[in-house]
Amino acid sequence: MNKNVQLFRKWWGLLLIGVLLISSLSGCGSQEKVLKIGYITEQTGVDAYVGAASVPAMQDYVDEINAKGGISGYKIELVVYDTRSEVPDAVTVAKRLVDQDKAVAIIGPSWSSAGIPLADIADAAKVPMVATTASNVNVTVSEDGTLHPYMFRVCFIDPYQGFAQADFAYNKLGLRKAAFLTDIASPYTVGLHQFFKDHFIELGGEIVAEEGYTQGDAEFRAQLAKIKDAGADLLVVDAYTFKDIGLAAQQAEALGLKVQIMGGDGVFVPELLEMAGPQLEGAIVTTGVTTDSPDFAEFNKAFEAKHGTQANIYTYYGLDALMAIEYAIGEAAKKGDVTPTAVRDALETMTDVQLFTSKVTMEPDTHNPHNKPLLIMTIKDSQWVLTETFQPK
Amino acid sequence: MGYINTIIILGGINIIAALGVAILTGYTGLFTIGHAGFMALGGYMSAIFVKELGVPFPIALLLGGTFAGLCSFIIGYPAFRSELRGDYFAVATLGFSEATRLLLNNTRSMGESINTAESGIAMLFKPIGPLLVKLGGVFGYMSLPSPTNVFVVVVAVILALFFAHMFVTSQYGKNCIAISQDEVAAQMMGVNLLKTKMIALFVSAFYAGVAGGLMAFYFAYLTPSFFTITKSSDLLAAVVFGGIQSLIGPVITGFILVVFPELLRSFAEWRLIIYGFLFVIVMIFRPQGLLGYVEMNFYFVRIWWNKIFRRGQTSQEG
Repeated sequence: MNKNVQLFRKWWGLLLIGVLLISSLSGCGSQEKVLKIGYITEQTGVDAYVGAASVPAMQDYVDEINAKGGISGYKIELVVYDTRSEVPDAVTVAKRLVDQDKAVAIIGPSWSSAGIPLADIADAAKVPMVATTASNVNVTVSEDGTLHPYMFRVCFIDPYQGFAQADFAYNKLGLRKAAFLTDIASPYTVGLHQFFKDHFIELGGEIVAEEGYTQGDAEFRAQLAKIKDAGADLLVVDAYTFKDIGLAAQQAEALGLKVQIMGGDGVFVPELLEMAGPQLEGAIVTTGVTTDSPDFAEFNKAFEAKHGTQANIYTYYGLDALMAIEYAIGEAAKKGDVTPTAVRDALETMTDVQLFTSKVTMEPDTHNPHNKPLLIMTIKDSQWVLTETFQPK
Repeated sequence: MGYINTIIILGGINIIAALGVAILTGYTGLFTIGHAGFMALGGYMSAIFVKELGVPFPIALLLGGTFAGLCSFIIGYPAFRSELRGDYFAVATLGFSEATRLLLNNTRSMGESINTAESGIAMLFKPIGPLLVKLGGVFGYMSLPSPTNVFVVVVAVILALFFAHMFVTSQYGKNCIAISQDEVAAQMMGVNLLKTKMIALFVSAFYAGVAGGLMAFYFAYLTPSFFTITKSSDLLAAVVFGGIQSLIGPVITGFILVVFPELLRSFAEWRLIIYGFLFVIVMIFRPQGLLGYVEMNFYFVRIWWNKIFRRGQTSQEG
């Protein structure tokens, strides 16, 4: 035992030294003009698929920029940090990006609970941050209505999506009795639920059941049975994780519950079709971008061939945010002032800039992209089919 | 500096919460996997005191801690009366903390329905309706002040360590150790089991509550998803990993558990695997924890003190 302990202490010491060496080495940089762009994402934890699909694509794009000689002579380095899908970790890495890496801009996070505290950090450090899919209103505009000057996003906000979903369900599908299956621990899901409900009632629809669950639940039969008894003709599952709607659809089929299922952009990933394609036949999912547009077919194919994983919307939103920052750095470089503040100014005033998915104009008073179209996707034969593009008035 | 400060602050907050768990699990032998619940209660309560009632920050922290301590009786009294021990008590604490979190998740909708209610039991809660809406449910309690900084946290950790040391070396602490060794023997020696356990739980929940308050005032934002079972099990891990019946062990590991994943960042996705692997190794070679039964003492302080002031004799008390 004693010998073991001694041996163990020796290895422990060696390991610690190794770790310290590696972490100090990674701090050394070259003499070139290098700008660091941070990316706060989820590579471990329940939402690991967000990082898995976005990091390789963004790294590829950065390599491409650098191969072309960088942005106005500035090479780009993408610094990726994992958050374990936990808010305290997101805060820590944001501070690390700001202080240690001196990032010129930061991409992320993808969920609103982290986006809200991170906005304060971005403001305090005066480093622009572009959230990918954090769609809660309060990410860019705080509760009392003041704008976070350094926080931006490239996705649309929850009220807009909830409103559009309700509008489509009532006016286009002619549905009148809605039921909800809501992740009560997710601001995204609860937000969509609220805005859907408000507009649906306003239109004259009826809410017959509101059932809840929490992230990680896998058993929805009790809730679905209640929804069946309530006689709903529409089931809204605006989950953040695709597993939830997939499991709900499988269990609804087992219970013989036949309703129109509807979901939000959180579940718009190819894995959903593999999981529950047949059960979700006819289901409708709203999203801001689609992986099935012919414009992206070539990209998707190349991406899958190179990385062995399918591109999803997080890939696109990540690239959107990266391209917005690329544009802003280019604008700042034209004025000869590549500082985080100059990048922020360029982000705020960007107008009709072609990003990966679409042309984007930033609203200066909210820092949300202006009038992003909402796509209505239907699942047919385990494939996404674009049925309609919803343009806000 | 901000990054280093963040690690020190988050590490310090973890130390305070881990000290709370050390008093309950390390010294009294009661396993808990629900301390995140007490952190949440303390955090929300002190945030309410500061933001809504304008109470000064240090006092609000203590009030938040006291509130968490008082709430611990809700679970403590029935559990100890029915002599729940070991795993059973751990499950009870887990239930309590999950229930707390789910309640907090629903504050907004509860508040809204109370505000619009016109009769029935909801009328009793009318005065707190607007407050519940402000807590924000899953959207979180936003725009809090953020007075927590390195100085505050370091002072809080020193005070917490000092009082924890005083507690475990006091008569109450000795009673706690007696209970963890052998309940029946302790009872025969005249230790009041119920009272001692309740005191240990109160102190432990108080520490968690203060840690929760510091956390609230650091992030300037509170959401129930901060306080999941992962948080609770991290705290328990700090105590088991650091050592049973030791304060300095949980202090060191409480800090290491925050720092280590950060040091391992260069390994990207592998870091959590390495982290888990180190855990297994330590548990195999040192099942009592890194510093199990090793007690910190303040002899050296006393010796210095005596040297400086030439009192001439050293006291034998620890």
